[in-house]
Amino acid sequence: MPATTKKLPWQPFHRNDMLPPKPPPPATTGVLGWLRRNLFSNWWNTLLTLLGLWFIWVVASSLIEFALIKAVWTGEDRNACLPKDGVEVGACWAYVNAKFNQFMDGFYPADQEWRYLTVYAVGIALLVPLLIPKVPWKGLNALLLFGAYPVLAYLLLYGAPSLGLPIVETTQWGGLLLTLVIASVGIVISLPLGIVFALGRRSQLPVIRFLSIAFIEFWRGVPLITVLFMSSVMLPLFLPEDVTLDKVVRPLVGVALFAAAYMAEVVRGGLQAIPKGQYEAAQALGLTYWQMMGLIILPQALKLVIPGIVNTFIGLFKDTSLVSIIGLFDLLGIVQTSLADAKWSTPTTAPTAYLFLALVYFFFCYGMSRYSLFMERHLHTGHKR
Amino acid sequence: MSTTTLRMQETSAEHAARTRRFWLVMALGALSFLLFFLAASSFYYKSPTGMFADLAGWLAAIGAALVNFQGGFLVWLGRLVTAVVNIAPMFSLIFFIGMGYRLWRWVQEEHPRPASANPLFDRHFRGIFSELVVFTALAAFIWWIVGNTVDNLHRLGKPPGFDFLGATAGFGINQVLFLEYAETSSYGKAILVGLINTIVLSLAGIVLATVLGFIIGIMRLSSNWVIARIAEAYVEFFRNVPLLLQIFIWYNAVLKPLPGPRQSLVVADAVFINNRGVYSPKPIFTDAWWIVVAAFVIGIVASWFIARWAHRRQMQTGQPFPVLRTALLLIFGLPLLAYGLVSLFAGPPVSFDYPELRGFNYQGGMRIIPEFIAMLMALSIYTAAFIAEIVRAGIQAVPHGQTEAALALGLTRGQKMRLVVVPQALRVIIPPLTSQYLNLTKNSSLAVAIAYPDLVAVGGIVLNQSGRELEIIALWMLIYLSLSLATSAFMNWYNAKMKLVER
Repeated sequence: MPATTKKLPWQPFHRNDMLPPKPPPPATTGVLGWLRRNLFSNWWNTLLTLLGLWFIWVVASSLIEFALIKAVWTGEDRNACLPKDGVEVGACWAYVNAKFNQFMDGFYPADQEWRYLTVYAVGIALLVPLLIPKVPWKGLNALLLFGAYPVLAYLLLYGAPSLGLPIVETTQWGGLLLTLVIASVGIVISLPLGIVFALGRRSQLPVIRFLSIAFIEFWRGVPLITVLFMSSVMLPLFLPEDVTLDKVVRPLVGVALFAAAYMAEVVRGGLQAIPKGQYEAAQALGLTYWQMMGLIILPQALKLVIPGIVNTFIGLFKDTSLVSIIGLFDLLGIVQTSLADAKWSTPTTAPTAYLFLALVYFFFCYGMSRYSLFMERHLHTGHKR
Repeated sequence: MSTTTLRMQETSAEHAARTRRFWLVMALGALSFLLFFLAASSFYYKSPTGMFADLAGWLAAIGAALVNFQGGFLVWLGRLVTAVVNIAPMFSLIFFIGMGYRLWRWVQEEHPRPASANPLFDRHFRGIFSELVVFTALAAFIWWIVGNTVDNLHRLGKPPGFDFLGATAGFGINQVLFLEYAETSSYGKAILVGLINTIVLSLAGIVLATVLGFIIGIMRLSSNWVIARIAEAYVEFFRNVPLLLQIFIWYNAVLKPLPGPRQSLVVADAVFINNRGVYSPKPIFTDAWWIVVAAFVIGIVASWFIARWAHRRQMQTGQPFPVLRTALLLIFGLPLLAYGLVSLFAGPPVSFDYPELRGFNYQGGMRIIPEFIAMLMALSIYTAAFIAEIVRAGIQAVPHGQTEAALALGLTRGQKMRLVVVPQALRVIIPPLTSQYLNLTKNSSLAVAIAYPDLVAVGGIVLNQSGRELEIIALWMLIYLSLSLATSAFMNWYNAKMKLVER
């Protein structure tokens, strides 16, 4: 077909000059880029960011104003913390200061304070090296901490007249000291007990399995407060007439059994996560049940569930505050009692006390959760993808 | 080569040896049971014949409990429980019979290899033997405890039994819902009021905690850095402070300092907030109200049928139908329409009783006590922190490939969330979510600390007044335990139903 020479009804468009250059794309790196991506990507995001910043400002500024700027730091009694000339004051730290000793140890005799301070010091000296993975002699350290230390702590805290340490009745214990005692005894008892019940629940033997399930489901099914009521009211009924149980030991039994049931479920999760091949390989090597569990399964399973174990510890630590309901003066109990003191009754006493309590509990619980995160990363040996 | 030749056949001599061992074990077991029974009965029954006397008494008690329905359900249940507890030690007999049967089966079974010469090295035998030891020790322990308790209770002059639930309570309760309760009502009724208060508080807390938890959980996943950090701070703070402290903070530091009734905070001229609670208008329904309720029910039923029809049509033709919008329109539109029609023809079906300040306090209207508000706030805010973490983990558990595949198929962002991500995330979220609901319910027992009249608080008053520690604590535990076990049974069913079916 010959090429047509007929003129088209329209002229093709030819561009003869360059388009103006477009502006460079917005930066996606650097501070500005980060801000743009994460905070101001569109109008909705910008609104959220501004709302969020405003919220942070309101909370933080009122908190700082209450806790630091308007706070009263020194004073002898409530007059220091009352509103002056109609101007409201902030946190009454003078009150916390005046009651600080009581918050720390309850009614522990003042001249014996060195005893529990020694217990703290030795405890920290033994615990910290155990928690740092790089420090050697873990076996010896654990032996000292779980074998010798409880005896030392008992002798120092309770007293032994033969060693020249006058007895301090447990009714005089209180405050943070009591909270720590209950929490640490609960932790130390509940972990091995929980492992035993987790193994029992996975056992081939029907009666042992049934008993373990019954134990675990019973304690997990009831609220801790009823357990504490039971241990404080009914434990004396369970024992022969002439046996009396210490007022602090009773809730300890309840707390430890309660935590053991939760621990058992956590450990069971770890046991179930271990591939069946590990069990079979151990059996094929001719290991007995306890060798298989002790050498092959439990080391792997416990490593897997460290976050769960620490979460249970955190729960246990928080739950120790419940003993104040059954009349023990733990940290929460003694602070709550001190609020009734007319000498310090001001509008800001209660908020100050609760802020102080929240900080103390938060310090311990948050510390534990951070440590568990650290351990999780440290023990991460590449099983997970 | 057939499988049977792989097994080493037991010779008849070996079989005879094993049978001999079986009878030896049985004789030992019988002896140990006899000794154990004599020892235990000396603790509990004081004489072996007492046990059989008790058996007769037990049958009589159960018969009486079944026939005699007086004194309300709780008293009746209490009698039944007492009767069963009385005979509990007899259950060990059933256990020993079961053990004997297992040993006998062990002898009868064909074994893949000859049993070891020493029974202690035989796995089956050792298993049964260790169970026997554990159970005997445990039964002896329980027997010891029960014996001590019975002794102590008789010494204190309060033999166990639930009949006290019929006695007059004599104390008032400041929140009574759905029931008629007065100081002259019985202990059983008071406990029932407490149980209802526990349930109401738990349900309200569950709803609020779920809403808050999902919001915070989604905030934590937000691409907006500030929002994500706020959510993280929320979770870390509220998870790491004891719930009891949070309850005290709400009750003593937030609600108590509110102004008195005369200086109440007023919302919309109808709701009054002061340190005695929240007073809001109380709806009073006329007889015509049922039409509105009926319209609501019809809306729900119709939506369900429409959803079914739409699903089937989409399966057949691929045409979608806006089910959600239609359902919302039906469920809320129909009652509104009914309300309008009824108002037009018969006057408004609902009127409000407004609270009024009379003297030193408000009268009329609906009052929500401050204890309830403090518990509700503390419980839901605390639990929401845990729910937020569950929601975050659940959404993150959905593989990114699912999102990409959904977008590649051309689904919109909303469709992607609704049809692909959320159904898969829910599978991960719901089991731990249920256990959080259960935790919230159990944590509601902390109400006793600020005297919100829940099951534990009311039970505590009854305990103090009647001195019946054993019965009250057993009642608490029974109620919470049955709640928990019912929930976990439901969860097992749900998990089995929702389990990912893989090839």
